[in-house]
Amino acid sequence: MTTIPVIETKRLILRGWDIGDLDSFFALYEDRQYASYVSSVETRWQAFEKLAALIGHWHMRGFGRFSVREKSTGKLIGHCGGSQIDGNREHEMNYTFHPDIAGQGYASEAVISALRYFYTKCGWVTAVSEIHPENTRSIALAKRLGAAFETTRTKDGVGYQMWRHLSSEVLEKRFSEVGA
Amino acid sequence: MKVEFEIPTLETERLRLRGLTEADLDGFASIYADAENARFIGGVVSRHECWRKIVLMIGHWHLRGWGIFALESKADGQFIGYCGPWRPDSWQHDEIAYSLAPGQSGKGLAAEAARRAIRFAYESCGWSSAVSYVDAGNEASRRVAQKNGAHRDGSATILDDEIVEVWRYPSPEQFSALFPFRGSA
Repeated sequence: MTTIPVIETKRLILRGWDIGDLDSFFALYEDRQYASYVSSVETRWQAFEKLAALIGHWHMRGFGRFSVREKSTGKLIGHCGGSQIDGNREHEMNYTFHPDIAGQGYASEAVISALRYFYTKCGWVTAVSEIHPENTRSIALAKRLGAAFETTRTKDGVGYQMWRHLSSEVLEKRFSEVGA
Repeated sequence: MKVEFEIPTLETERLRLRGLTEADLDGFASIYADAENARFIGGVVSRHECWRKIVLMIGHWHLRGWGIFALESKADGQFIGYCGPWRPDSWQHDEIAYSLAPGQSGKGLAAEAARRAIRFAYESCGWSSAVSYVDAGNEASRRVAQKNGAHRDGSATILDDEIVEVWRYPSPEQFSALFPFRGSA
């Protein structure tokens, strides 16, 4: 079984999950509008299924979603990491953060650190994020991360935006101080 | 925090119970592609959704310490179905789940696998009781539970509003007396 690594940044810890995380994981989706952009989680049992699937993904692909916790409080504030359900598609960076933590730079700190990990340890050469067009918070985060809008991909009548993240070299140049 | 787990490999007379892998996707998807077969396990779902079900089942091992095994034929390695101890969030009991690929029913394979899974749950997972959930009308599944000594013990509501029959297996002591362990069988 793949061990989910632990990454420590200035203010955050990115690591795996256990069953005790279920309630705070479910709470990430309590803003229904935001939740509808990033998942289909509406109930606690759906949260369990999603959490289990995120963990199983690590086993299947060797990379996956990290839990993101605030170092000072230990509180789960979101999750971010790699996703590739269809092995023929590109590596995707996904991220979900609780609305309450907005404005502190936590999300960029976490996503940059996770992306750096996948570039250096998992052999990723590029990464995209697929974002619901009305998910303005995630689009704003993609921009802050230096990602470039690439194209629109329609799925179930929704035109998802594809954003391409910075390459490993540019990421290191631009964000060398972020993270570790 | 437990971040590692190993899915053991178990054997019965005809089956190997092992961890699910991506190579099982075709066989797994065949279970959910067949309308008659999928009728009692939530209905027909896409291959994409099956991939998600497989990773969910693997992640369940991490969250609970036990979970679903792939069943493969010892004779030729063919994917036969899945079975194992199972407790998603809305479940009211520790359950033994089982489902076979189309064409595999009627040979006693589900009962054989479930018997091994019950023993695993009792001996290795600390369970003191075990049930299987059976959809009303799923006569084949009910027979599988009965073959392993289960009796009807009311109903349970799972997911949001789905009512299933609860079939309770004998206690660990009764179970090991009923089905004494003989080598790998």
